[in-house]
Amino acid sequence: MSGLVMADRLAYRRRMSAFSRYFSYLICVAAFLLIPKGIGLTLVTLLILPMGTANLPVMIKEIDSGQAYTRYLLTLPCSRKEIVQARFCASLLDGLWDMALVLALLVIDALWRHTCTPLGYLQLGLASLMIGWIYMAMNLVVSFLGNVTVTSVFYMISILAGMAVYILVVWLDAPVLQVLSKNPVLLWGGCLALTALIVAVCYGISLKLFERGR
Amino acid sequence: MDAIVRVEGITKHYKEFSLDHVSFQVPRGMILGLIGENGAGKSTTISALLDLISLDEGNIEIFGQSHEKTARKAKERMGVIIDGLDPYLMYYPKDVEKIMSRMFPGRWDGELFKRYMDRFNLPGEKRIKDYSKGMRVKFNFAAALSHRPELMILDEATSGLDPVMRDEILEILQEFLEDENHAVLMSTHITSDLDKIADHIVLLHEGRVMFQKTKEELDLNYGVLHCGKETFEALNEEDVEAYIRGDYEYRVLVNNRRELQEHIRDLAIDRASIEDIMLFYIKGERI
Repeated sequence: MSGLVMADRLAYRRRMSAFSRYFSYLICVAAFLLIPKGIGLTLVTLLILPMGTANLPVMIKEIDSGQAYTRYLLTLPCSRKEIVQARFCASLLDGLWDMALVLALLVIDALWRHTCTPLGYLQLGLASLMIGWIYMAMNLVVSFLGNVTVTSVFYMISILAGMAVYILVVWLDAPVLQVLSKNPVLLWGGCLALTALIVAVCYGISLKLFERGR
Repeated sequence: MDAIVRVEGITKHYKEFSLDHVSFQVPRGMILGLIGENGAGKSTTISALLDLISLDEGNIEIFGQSHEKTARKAKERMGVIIDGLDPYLMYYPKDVEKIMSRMFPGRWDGELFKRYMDRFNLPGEKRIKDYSKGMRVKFNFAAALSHRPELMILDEATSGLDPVMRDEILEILQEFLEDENHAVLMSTHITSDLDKIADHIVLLHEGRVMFQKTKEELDLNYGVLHCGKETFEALNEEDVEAYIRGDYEYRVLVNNRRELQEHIRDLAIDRASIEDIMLFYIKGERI
């Protein structure tokens, strides 16, 4: 399976040039630095970076449409199950870069701007992780199923949600950051469990869809 | 016959097409050419061999084992090149080497890969998408051969190549077969390539096998006779494989060329190429 993971990760990295990748990170850092009142931090950790985490399956789907890449993998000594597992692993591994940037920005904000309490930062980090994994899992299902426009719908919903939060905070002065400073353990435990369940269900659906294509 | 591949009665039904009880064998040390018109079922057959599709009926054995249970293991010993699959475009050669060495642990030969790259004059520092069409095909062969497969499966692998490049590819295949334990299954429209190197020919038409014969048998026995109505009507039914009626003559595919030539000395019976035989079987009429 390590060969399949490497194939997916290298396909993603070669398709998405280093310049694009670093430029997107630059945008994140600029948003963090320039958008005030913690909004930049929230936008980057809850929207931009999770979308980056979920990018690998989308890119593989694009490669597939031009080169029948996944069909070629089936001619190699591997099972369909291994291809699905490898894609999940490759997505998770590649998403670690984005998660590392989230962690770095949270630490920098904690040391510099003190926007939230430590628990608030922890919750932002966890939320970023969960949103990224949910996007990633949904994109993985789509990469074995349909067209990329389905994923675009998810992204549109996320952008609209982000805009709603922005309006709430800037125009309506809603105490979003105060909410983040609380520690509702049950709520977060439930969210993590739900995320794990969504990822597991998406994995199962991907396997079924890919097997059915036979 | 010691066969690397045994296909027995494979059947697959689609809405508008069926692969209908296809059977053939790929003998060791031989090249089997799989021919047929577009939509005959060649690619479906190859997909079945590669376990890319499920079958409604039938059995496939590769390397002496039922394919259903051992497809994954069998693929370690196979090299596959399919036209239309351009899987390496975004990679550099060094990426492909890293991936393949992990996909074929213990079989991948990095030195052999480098030798093929040198032999084919393939630049290692360019992405595969920057290669010409011919270079990409050669690269596919380099990657497919460098894990030392025993069976090569080629589906239109030489399509779009010029005659010089195709000749180089055929040379590589002949080298591959210097090991008598190897075999090649080659599906192609370029029947002139099979005329040069194939040992066995299987003709598929509308999902059915019309014949599996050795190339030697086809060369020795099959011929094309151009004649008038009188001569045609004088022929024995058993001698005529198929015929095409033209405006002024009959073109007849005969199956015992040498014997017939002795009886009909004043008419020439040309040796039938694989393309001729295919055309007669598909477009010709039977007595």
